[in-house]
Amino acid sequence: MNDLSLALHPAPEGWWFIGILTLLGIFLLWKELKRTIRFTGLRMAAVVIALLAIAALSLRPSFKTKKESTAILLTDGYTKEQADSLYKVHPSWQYFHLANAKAYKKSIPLSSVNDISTIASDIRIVLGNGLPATGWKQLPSASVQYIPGNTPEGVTELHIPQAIFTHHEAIVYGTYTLAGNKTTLVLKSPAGEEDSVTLQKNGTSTFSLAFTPRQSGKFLYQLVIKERERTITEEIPLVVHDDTPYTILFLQQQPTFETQYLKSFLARQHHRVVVRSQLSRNIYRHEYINHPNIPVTTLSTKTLKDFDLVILNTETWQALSSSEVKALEDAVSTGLGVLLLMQEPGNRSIQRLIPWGTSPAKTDTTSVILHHKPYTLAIAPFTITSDASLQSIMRNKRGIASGFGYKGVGKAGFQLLQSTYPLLLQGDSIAYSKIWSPVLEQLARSRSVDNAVRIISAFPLYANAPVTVELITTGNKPALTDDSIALPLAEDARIDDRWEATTWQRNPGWHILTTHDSLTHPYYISRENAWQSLHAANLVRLSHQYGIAINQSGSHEQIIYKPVSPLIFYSLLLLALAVLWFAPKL
Amino acid sequence: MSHTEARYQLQQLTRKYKNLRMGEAFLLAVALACISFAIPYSFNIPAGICLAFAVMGGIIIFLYRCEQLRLFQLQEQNVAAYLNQQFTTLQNSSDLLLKDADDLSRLQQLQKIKTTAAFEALYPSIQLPHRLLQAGGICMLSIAIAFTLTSFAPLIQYIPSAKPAAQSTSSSENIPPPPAQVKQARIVITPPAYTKLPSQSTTGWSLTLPEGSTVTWNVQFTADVKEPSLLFSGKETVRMKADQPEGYTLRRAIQETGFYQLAWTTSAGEVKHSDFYKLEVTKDQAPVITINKLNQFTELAFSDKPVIDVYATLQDDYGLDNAHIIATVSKGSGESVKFREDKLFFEKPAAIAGKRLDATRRLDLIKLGMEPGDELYFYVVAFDNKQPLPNRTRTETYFISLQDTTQQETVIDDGLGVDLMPDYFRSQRQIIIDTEKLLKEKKQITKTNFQSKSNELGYDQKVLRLRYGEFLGEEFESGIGPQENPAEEDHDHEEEDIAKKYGHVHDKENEHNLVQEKKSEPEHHHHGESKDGEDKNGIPAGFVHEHDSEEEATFFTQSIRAKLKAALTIMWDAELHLRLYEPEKSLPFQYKALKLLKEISQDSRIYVHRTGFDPPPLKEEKRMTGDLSEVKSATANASPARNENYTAIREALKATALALAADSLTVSNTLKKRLTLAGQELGKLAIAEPGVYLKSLSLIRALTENELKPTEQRPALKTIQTSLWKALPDAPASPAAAAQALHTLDRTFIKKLEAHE
Repeated sequence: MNDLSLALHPAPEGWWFIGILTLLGIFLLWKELKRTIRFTGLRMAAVVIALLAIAALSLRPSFKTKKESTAILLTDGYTKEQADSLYKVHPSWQYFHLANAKAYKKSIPLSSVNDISTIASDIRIVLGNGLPATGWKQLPSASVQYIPGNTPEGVTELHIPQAIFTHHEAIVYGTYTLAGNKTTLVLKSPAGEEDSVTLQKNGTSTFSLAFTPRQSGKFLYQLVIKERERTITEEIPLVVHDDTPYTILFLQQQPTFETQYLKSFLARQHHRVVVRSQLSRNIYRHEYINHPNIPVTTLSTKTLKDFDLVILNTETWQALSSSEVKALEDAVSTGLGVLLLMQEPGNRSIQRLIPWGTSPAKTDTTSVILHHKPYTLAIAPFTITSDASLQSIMRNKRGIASGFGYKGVGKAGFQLLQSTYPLLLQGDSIAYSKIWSPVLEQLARSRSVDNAVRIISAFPLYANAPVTVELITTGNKPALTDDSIALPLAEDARIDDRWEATTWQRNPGWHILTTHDSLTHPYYISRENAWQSLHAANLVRLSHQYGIAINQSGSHEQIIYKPVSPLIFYSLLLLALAVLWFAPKL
Repeated sequence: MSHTEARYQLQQLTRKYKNLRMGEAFLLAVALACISFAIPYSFNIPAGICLAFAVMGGIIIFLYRCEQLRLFQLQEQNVAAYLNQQFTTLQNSSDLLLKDADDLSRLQQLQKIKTTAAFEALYPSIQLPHRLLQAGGICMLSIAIAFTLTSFAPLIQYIPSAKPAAQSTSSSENIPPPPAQVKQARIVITPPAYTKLPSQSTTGWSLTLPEGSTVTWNVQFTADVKEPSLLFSGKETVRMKADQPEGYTLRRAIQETGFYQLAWTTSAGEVKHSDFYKLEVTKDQAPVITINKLNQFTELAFSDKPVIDVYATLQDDYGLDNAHIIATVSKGSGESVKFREDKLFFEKPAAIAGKRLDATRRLDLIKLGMEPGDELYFYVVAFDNKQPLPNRTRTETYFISLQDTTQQETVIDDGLGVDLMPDYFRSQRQIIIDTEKLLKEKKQITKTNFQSKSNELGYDQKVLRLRYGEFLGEEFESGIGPQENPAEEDHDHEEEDIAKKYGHVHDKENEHNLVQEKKSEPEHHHHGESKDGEDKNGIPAGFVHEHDSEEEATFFTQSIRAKLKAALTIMWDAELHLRLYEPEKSLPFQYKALKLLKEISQDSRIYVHRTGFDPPPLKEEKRMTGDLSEVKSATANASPARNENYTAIREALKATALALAADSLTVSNTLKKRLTLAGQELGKLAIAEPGVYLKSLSLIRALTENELKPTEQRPALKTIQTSLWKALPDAPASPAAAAQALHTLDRTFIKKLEAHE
């Protein structure tokens, strides 16, 4: 401690108080001087002291000192070498370690992250995997250096898809840090092995594991990590959703096998399908499958509003009246999807929908891999020239077989594959769905809902740790309950309709968040010692955000105010008043 | 060559011989080493020991061979002795070459000089005996064998371990525990008598048994029970009979794979069920027949010995009962084919029995009555001894044809597969051949002879024309003989034609002439009757659909008729020129006729019965009017039901997953109910695949009846979950996408993007 100086922290704002005191002092001194009793000098002094004491009580003087923070916090994952080299530089500093970290020399243990607050001002360096957000928030910001320890071994990043649908292939991917033996990662569904990968290269490598769930619901898949000596089984919580039906409009000049089979394929999957086939001029045949009868004889923006996707072929597009084309284009710009089944490049009117160039191709068949098997399919005898605005859905060496581009909010796409229905006839409906489902998913109007709940905290979530939840809602009085316990919501200061809440869970397992309009969002609390490497890696990433990387010299001096005890001033005041009281009596 | 040189060469020879022989021994040693390594290695003996074996074996054979050939004691003298034996020119004196000149007498020295000269002459041609090539061959062979053996090592390793598992009735692993409260159980499997397998008695409850076995369960309970019964495949309950104190028995013949469980009522009135046990039936396989050393299509040349030996290997899992050859001889050259079917038995062995046998039969084609051009089709049929209905297997049909050199030419044109032209008249081709022959011989034979032959050919041509005319329905001219009035015939012919042209042609069964039909007298009679206005049943003619009337009698459709008619006309011309003794002019007509006839036979081949839709005639006044007043917009509605399969299994899966995710497992009543329902669906699957689902079924039962300890519940539920999940089939993905909620900022952002696009 050096460079002592005094600082004042006046309780009443402004100097008017001192003015009043001074006036009061002059008045009192004058009064004492006028009194004709003994001890004049003493009484005068007592008055002065009493006034000074009152002033000091209100001004709250304190000594200002500068102090260097000289503590190092060791967290789990630090290495002894790191600690040793720090010790070499700062032998006199204090060392603290968290309960889950190893002790170093005579380091002082801290039972939990919450104990940091007592020594927060002293901490200069955090070593190891770091602290959770709650820990960092207790430290003085922008002054604590963070030195990461050894990179945690094992799964260091994991991305679990949020939207998983039955019979759709989903991929779990992440990174794995390997130090030494080769490791095999196996993704297991309740039925057994789904996918596996063997990692051999030392260091951090990415992995992805695919699976196709057969049943909707909440399931725990397993990631089995097989090393030479040990096998670790971690649980991946997955929420598999049932598909929600689309409303699809087919327009055709005459029925074809392709549309006929696509229609019945979609109908079987319970999508709402409306088919308009033209029999003659002004005479149509309408089919309504899982859909109430609505007039679609002429297309208007109003009728198209209810549809997610319109499927038609080149010929039908060219036969549409200009008002229908206009209505279709308007509907697309507000979100509708249009799929054009192309047999030929078509005339210029096609350009309004498919603005990309075409070039003739020599072949009219193409080979595609579906469901890990090669298939040879017929394709329109031309290719679409690739363009930045063209996004492919299915492409191979020959070019893009199906793709789309944005038109406003909606999308317009094309399918060049022809005669895919023989796959259905062969009984290979899975391959058929692999061709069509991605196309329809990409093109159909994107669904929007009024409410959505999302867990912001990184996976894995643990018991007795805060879980931050985001709620996006258009409702005015949002509410969120966690297993029927209402959570306090705070609206985002900058973004409308975005709310945040924090919840704590005591037990591992599935829990459900429910919004005011009974939207549910299940989430899983992992067991305490699950996903250790991932948790450590998460902490490291978080700590990098909070801590500073380089030790800037000089910035570590802290100004510390040590208040002078008000008891001294109070006793002085008491003493002075006592003198004033006793003096006349003596 | 000097003496020293000769001696040196002799030494060389000795050394060469040693090297050759040692090389040979070495190769043999390597061969043995390979074998003695491979054999123990393939029986999974550690490689080190195998190697030791190999080295030892190699050294022993090497030493043995060297010792056998006395290679170690081999001296130059031995070689010299050998040379003496082999070459007389050395005059038994080659050992002189080894001796120094000083030790020799004069005579010996003289002889030595002579021998040296002889030796020198001989030296390049001396062939030392060795078996290096054989040894090399043996060595290569054993290396190959060793390589094969070692590469199949894992297989050999596997076979001994697999065998007992396949034979034992209940596999050693995964034996489900016997039912509770059962004191003693004895299960006797009696395979059907024909299998000749012994009865087996077992205490294990999961059974693997041959098809048709009778199983006897003899169960004793620890306590008093009522109405014990066995439930088969979850469908059939069979009460067990009490036959001895505390003992119950049930006998049942098992035909199909499935599962069963024991059910009983305790004295307290509680119904108990045991686990599920599998009943796996091994089907009796049909016999396997292989015919060896015979191609499926064999053509015997005229000069070949008309004998075919059939070697068949017959195999069955339990035993063969009967086997024979079904042979069909197709006879007939060209225009008529006759079939004769024979059942031939194997000559060796006399009686077909046993699990595997080689049967032979010599087919003497002459004895079968075959002539050149005939064909023999045969196949082998074998029956096993299964009761009551034996399994039957037959081979592919084998074809043996005797080449017919005389008919070689006709083989080229592929006429009717079964040619039904009558063979008692000459074919058009034959007439052409004969005409050409006649033209060739024209100079050699007399004019009368030539004319008479030409006339004869004309006659043949006429007969041919008449026969074809018969096909056209000109049956009034059916006689083969000189025709009195050809003009009238022609006239009739035309009249006939007109009648046919406008007549109604029926699709007749025999329309494309598969079977030769010949009008017979009774039919004529019948026609006559029908003309009376009533047939014999007394039905008026107008109400009868008449067939076979002369007007309608035709074998061919109109286009073929036209061709046939043309052919007949041309035949007329051909005959005309032949009759005028101008065969050379007749030939072009004959060729034309032949061409047409061939076309006709082709046409009649490709003809198929016309069936199906006969569109109603179009109203002329409506055609091309563009009147759509009756065509209206149509609407169709459908809402196919979603065929969700295995609903109970799906519900149970969700419930199981939730229960397993919880920290402490509680088997709630809802879960039990769901599992019970899922169990019913799983039971149906288990009948087909008891091995996969039976264990889970047992566990579901145990779980729902609270028979499991709390510690056993979690693993049990996991096993159940796995089975339930496996039961779900793969299905096509339906288009689906996640919904998203946008907050104000997102929405504004997208709007701005649109505006700027």
